[in-house]
Amino acid sequence: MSANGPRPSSERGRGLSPAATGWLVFVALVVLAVVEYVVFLAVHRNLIWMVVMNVADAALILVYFMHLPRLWRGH
Amino acid sequence: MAVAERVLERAHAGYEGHGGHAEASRPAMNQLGLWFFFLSESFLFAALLSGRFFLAGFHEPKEVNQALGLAITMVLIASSFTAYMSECGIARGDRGAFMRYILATILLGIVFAVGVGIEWSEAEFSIHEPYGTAFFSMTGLHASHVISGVFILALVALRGARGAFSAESHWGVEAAIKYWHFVDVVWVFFYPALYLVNW
Repeated sequence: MSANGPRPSSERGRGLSPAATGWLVFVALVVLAVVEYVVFLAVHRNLIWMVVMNVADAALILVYFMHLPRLWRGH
Repeated sequence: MAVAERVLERAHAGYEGHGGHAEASRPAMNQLGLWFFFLSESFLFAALLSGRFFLAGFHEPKEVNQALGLAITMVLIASSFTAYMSECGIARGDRGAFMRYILATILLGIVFAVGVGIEWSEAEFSIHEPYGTAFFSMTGLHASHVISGVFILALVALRGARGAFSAESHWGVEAAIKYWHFVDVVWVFFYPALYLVNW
């Protein structure tokens, strides 16, 4: 299983190493978490903002960390 | 529907392509089974998430420790990153990196669970209030998944230390780490619902 390592098909051909992908996604998740908190402090009715940011967070993890596209594209 | 058909075709092709040999088709079926498990778990967590809004409305809770909530969220995000790096390590045959990162993930998981414990001990609301019911049930169920994830990762680390996994064969690592990421995805929705959302 996974003899080629965690390299989702979504990043093939872009020249990004798996480690670089990991760092980029990690930074994006941290930034999103901080932005969520700032929105909480600054915006009174923030439900829509939160939903949009949560979906972005989840998509990043599902696609890059959990390799969801491999289910239908293969390795 | 088209995506579902392709997923099933892939799993089936793995089976047929190896003369119907169950062992050869196992990886594709394992993946599919794991994702079905995540799907079934998602319904459970989604029920709790909707229950939080049904019970306590969309109003922002005043009594939670916001700094602690943000801190444990960062810890869980960091643990997802270390879990991913651990999988990268074993996939390229680097056992040292695999062990370092998986132990870091276990440690961060324990820190998260301790953080939830502190939040519980500091909570200024009771489980009998609507928000308290939602808060304790959601964080409790999620923390139980974190703790079970820590045990699973510890087992994987133990087997890894004994040389059970290689670059060519590490389904056990992949499945455990996917489970850990799933727990992180759940928290991505639970954290704002419990700490931040206001309408």
